[in-house]
Amino acid sequence: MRTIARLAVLTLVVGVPLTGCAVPQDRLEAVRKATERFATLHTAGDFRAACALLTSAAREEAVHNGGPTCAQALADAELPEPGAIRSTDVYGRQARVELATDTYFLTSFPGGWRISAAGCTPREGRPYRCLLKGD
Amino acid sequence: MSRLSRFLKDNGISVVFGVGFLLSLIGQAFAGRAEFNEELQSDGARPVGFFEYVATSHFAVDITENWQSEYLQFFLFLFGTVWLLQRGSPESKEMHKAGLESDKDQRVGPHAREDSPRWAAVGGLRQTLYSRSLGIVMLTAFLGSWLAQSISGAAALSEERLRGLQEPVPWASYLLSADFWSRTLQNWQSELLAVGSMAIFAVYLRQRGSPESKPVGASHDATGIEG
Repeated sequence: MRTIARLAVLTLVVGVPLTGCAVPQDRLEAVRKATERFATLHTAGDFRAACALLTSAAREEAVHNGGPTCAQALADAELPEPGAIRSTDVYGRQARVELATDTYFLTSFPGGWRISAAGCTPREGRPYRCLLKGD
Repeated sequence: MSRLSRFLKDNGISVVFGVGFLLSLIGQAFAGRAEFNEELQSDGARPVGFFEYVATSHFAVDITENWQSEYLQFFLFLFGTVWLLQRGSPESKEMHKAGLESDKDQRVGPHAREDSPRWAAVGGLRQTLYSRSLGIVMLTAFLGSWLAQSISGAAALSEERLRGLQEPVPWASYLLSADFWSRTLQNWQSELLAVGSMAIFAVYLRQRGSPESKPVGASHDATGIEG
């Protein structure tokens, strides 16, 4: 009984805060790799492969707004040259990666991290303005 | 009487409230997941499974904001009622007993009895600590769960903001945020109301057989008597 009580207190005091604050290194690394992969494909002009790394919402929005295909919309979006990663924030299933020239937002799926918005610049007190994003 | 029956009789309060706690927590997880998934779907995001949900900061902040206020309530009640009195209330000591009381009344040091806890009989730091151990544990549980609320709340709000393509909120900024204080104060006010009203209602009202009430026939002026 005493062991159970100790475990309960340990869970309360130590375990619960960790739910909110601990971001394992491999999650940060997975977010960075997904960002770099997308940036590399985009810079190389392989827009079709880059489209496969977008969330379905971002792909649909790209087709809806630019089209006629996701690859064509991505080519026309004129995303800036990404540059080096400056910072990475991961909270639950959402992430933000700040690059030298713009910011990416990512969402976690069972198959890995996908780009939900790219070419984003901050706006005071409002959501980022993004050249490419899901609805 | 079998061993199980004896155990249940000896531990009725902890068993019933413990089981009730677990059932409520499971119910909260199901309801919380449904609410979270509605929120996600309206944002066009993928819904979460049950076990995925119980590991989220969204679930953690909803739990800990209630835990911290409950432990604060018990800590304040324990600590405050050392000095604060309420004439006629069974929640209060008698009117002349405000304060830490004498060693004799508290059965510590040379006044300890044979069946007293060992640390009540010894002097020094151990007796000082043991004399306040219940309050220390309640205060630690309060501070631990309030800290957990602040960390998981910052994470939950940051995740929600990232989903809306907004900046995340660092923990230090979250401590000054409306979300943190709204969650905190809405729980504190309800706990303080419940404790304060219980102390007053118990002056005039009775619950036959409950140790939290005065005996039914006790006068309204009788203080510090429990039925």
